[in-house]
Amino acid sequence: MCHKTASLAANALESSGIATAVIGTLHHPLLPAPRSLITPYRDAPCGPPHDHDLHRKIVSRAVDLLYRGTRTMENFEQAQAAIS
Amino acid sequence: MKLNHYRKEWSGWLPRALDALSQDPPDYSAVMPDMPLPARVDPAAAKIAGPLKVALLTTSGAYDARSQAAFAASAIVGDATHRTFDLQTPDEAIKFAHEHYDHSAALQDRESVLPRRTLRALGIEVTRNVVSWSGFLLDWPTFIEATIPQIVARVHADGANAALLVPI
Repeated sequence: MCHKTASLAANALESSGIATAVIGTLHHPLLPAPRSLITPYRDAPCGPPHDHDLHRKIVSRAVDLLYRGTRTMENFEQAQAAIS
Repeated sequence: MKLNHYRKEWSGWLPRALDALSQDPPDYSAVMPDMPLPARVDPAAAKIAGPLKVALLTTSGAYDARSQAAFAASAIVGDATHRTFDLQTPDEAIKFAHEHYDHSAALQDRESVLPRRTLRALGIEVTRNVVSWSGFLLDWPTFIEATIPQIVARVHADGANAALLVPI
């Protein structure tokens, strides 16, 4: 339900001219969201506690999505694997 | 009274759902698949003009325990309200009112769910207010009619041109 309400809010923000990116852990409820990044860390979408390097990688990736001119959903692990 | 077709449909579902929602534990599987949903809107992706300024939004049920009431996380239909609190709020003042996830990680390190310092470490300007709600909520008509417009207005008033949302 969290992800669904985030999608509702994200679409309202986009309609008002605010670019959005959602960092979540569930794929299906975020399908309506304009731009989303799926991470594997249940209950800690930005990464496990105190793993600040990982937090920066995740948030940086989500910020990159803000500049995408089209609706998109990205899997963080797959994106990282493609980089390395 | 202005007719809201979605609210009317939802109000028809709620009485049928209350028995299952009132059980301990609630039988969500019996009623959630039938909860009416609003018409889906897919707005075009907004474009960022000018320097990036990001608003941070969370569905974690975070609130500033020094001055704010907790969300009514045990309510049968959840809590459709929201809170805003200062970006600089000390970690220990941020509590979470949400019964549908394990708070351990969030309490160990708020950055796991609320990446305030992470955004700043990346050199990204962040608006002064964090916007929060408790994401388990079933009163979508109120959330859509009353809460989301306030959230949108807050984000604009804070001067953001982008928003990062972190649902749990």
